[in-house]
Amino acid sequence: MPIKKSFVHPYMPNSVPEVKRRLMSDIGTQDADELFQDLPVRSRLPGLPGPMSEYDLRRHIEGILAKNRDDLLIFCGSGSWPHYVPAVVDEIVNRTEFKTAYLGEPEPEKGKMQALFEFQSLVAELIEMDVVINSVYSEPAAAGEAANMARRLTGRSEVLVSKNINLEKLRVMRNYTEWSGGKITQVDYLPRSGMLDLKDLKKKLSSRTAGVFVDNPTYFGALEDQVEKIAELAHGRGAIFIVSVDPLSLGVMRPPGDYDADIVVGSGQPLGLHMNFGGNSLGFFGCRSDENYLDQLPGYVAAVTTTLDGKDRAYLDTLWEKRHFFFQRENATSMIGSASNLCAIGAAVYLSLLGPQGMREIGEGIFRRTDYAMQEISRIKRASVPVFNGPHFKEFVVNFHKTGRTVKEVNRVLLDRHGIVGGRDLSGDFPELGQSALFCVTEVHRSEDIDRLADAIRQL
Amino acid sequence: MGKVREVMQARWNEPCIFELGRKGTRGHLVPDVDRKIRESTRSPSSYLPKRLRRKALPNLPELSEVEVMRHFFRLSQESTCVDSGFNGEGTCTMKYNAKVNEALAGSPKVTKLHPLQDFRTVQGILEILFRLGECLKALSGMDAVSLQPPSGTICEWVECLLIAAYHKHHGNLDKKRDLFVPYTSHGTNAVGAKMAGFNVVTLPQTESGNLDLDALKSVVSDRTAGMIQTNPTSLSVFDPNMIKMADIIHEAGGVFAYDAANTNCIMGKVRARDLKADIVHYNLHKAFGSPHGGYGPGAGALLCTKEFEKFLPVPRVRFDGKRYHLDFNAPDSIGKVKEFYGNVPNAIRAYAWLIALGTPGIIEASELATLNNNYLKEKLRGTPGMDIPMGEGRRRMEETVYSFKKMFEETGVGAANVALRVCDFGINSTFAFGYPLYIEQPWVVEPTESMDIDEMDKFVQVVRQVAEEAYSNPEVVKTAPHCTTVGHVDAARTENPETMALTWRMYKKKGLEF
Repeated sequence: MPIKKSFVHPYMPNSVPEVKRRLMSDIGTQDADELFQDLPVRSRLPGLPGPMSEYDLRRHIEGILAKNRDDLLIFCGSGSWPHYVPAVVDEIVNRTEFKTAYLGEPEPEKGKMQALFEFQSLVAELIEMDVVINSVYSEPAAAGEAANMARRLTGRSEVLVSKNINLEKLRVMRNYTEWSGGKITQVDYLPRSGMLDLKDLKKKLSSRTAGVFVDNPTYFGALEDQVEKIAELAHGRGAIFIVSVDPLSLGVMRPPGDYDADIVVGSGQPLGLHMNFGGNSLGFFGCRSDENYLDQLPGYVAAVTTTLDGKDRAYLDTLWEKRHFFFQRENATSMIGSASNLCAIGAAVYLSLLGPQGMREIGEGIFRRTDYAMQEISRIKRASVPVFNGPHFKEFVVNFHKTGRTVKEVNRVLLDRHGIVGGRDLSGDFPELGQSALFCVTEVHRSEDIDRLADAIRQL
Repeated sequence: MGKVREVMQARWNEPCIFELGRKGTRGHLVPDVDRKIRESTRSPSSYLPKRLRRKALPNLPELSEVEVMRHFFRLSQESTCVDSGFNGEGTCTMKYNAKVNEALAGSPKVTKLHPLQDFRTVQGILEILFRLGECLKALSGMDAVSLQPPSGTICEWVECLLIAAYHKHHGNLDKKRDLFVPYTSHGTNAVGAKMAGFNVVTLPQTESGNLDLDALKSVVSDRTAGMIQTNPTSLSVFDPNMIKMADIIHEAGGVFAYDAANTNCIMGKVRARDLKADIVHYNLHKAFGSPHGGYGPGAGALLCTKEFEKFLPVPRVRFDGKRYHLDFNAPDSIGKVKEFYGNVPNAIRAYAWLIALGTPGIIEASELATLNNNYLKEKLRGTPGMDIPMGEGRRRMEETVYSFKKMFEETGVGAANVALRVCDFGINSTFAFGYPLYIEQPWVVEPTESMDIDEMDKFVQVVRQVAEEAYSNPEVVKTAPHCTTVGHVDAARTENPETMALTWRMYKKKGLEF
């Protein structure tokens, strides 16, 4: 039954009964309900809470949100990392011109289109690839799109994925590829270094291999030291070499464009985005500029151009017809609609603020803090570090076997007694590592924070 | 009434960021490595093997903080948004986004939470996700919900994955290969079906705008896996045969999935469950008041009946009467379609929007969205050169597909020209595209419940004025826009391999100068 009672609401200017009546009379109806005559059934009213005034609403929701703890010292990464967000980034992404916007015609949206082109361009410099598309939902989504693009480029079905990646990402990639006839086969990692097992890779590479996917740094934080060799092996079999990187490592680490990667993906969350309980994240996607790649792009891409009269520089989303679901329907190469452009603008601001020097320093700082944390924890007899040899970036594995406790128990103590969010429990996803956890340190951690973690572990 | 006057948009001639700044300038000081850490560690350049080290610093611009702020501030001014004026982009439901939602979603009690924090420390977030799920269940009549998909497109694909998972579970996936997608649906329905591995069977509609039921009956077979139906359709009529379609599909052992992205006009009027849908999705960034962000981040909500619940992505938010927790124990689940739990800040916005309106407000929003659209349609009817194709005599729902075919034939001015010319009058965006693709010179406008009557009258006046121009002075429309930040953009240049530049790096490598 329609509600007949008048209900004037601030979000709805025409909810004033007189206005509503005028609208109805101008379209020749007495009853708004007549507009719904095509509905084959009417449902009972949903019984939602509210309506509420703004104050009551705020009090209600803030009251619920107050139950969240945002005062904890976080040493957990694994797909979402505690980084510092510069104030300018928040200021820009909260500008209503960007936030409450659509992305319509390029002429009135010149600024937004330019900001997206700049996002693409800044990431392109960081990874040293010529092509970067607009935002992707997140890094796992970008990884899934990369695997599918490799399938389309090669006409082959199997994607080889290193076992040293986040299994949460692997689960997303499987859904992206396997329902549509693709196959993901995992390649072992070396137990001492955490790096890809090249012998296993060679064994599994075949004429069916569409792509080879690796993380660098690996999920365990150890660096992948064999990228050139992996590229050579993949290319030797006509497969696409896909690398996922941490953008904050790239002021120090070699960019994948420099070691012959074909497709590069990564998380944009470290580039000035809040953790948001894992939501409203960002992925980036870059690739070669060969024509066959341009025919297969998985999402929107901005380009620089001019106005028709050639007088002004302008920007617009391009390469629509070949790719887009508007035109191509089931043959489209794109499953990316409203992805994460606002976050991409935030990442562009972040990269502009840090610049080359800032990116070098933040990368070095994270390397050194990681090193420090590993040193400090390695002094503790009952915690085993390193689990993997070699240099680490941002994340590292700690084994708790000698404490006689499970990671779950360890993390509970860290939280309850010390207000610390411990490392991601790896015992389920990587049983071969026993009771191990993946810890994370970033530029937000000072020596006293790391010492507090080490002390807490020492007291276990 | 006099003529509507043009509106000048801001124009800063803002250079590309790579042309700004100067060597050595700093925009942000990163946190210092403190002394204790410095003294006990070495710089990575001293121990990283050369093959792992970056040779030269990345070629990023060097700007001060104030220059970065001004640059992006100016770019924001060279853009439009819902708060600056009417955005009628059809199919996108560009409604007003309440500011209180922003204050709540931006709280540190949301932004600073790590997704793997112990569930005891995120009870507030889990409670809101749970409560939002309950509201959406009430609106849809469904039994179970997942907020994991980050967008509507991903929801459409996941709907198809649930169909596949269902048939796989029953050992029928080898046989159940055909998924029906009406031609009046979103193109993304077809992509989602293909990505889920199905054979996409496209179904035609009749002149009334409804699905051709005979065509459906003629293709149904034991190969039928299911169907995904957008309703209101992309022609913006509500297909009254929804239940009949569901019956036909169910009869064939198929699953009936519902794309309710266009739900803004029927919320509180009809539940997906009562339309016999097995699975349905909503876009929280459209109907439910979360801002669009200029193509994301959005958020999807996927709902289904009990029968399909076990296939939903993990984890699910549960409440045991005392505490909220995340339940990963679902052996038949399709697993993950995004890492973690979906776009949580947007879920908070959606919950805030829903309870600000409550049941009467939701119904009012549906009525006004529909009423506003039909008002615009009636007032625009008879605009020279414009038709309202298909579905003659029928009410439209939340948007209307117009056609400028006649105008194009008579004057050379088409829908794309009109869409650009209206920008000169402060109309941010309309949609010169439409389904089905055979509607010529389509133009889709969706007012939503946020458009006030004066703004609607002004909009009508603008469109009529532009139509008059098309006949009296077509050049002014063809060369539009004139008052936006930049004039008509050259798209051809970006598609020519010699002048295509998708990044500044590409622009420089090609030695381009424009």
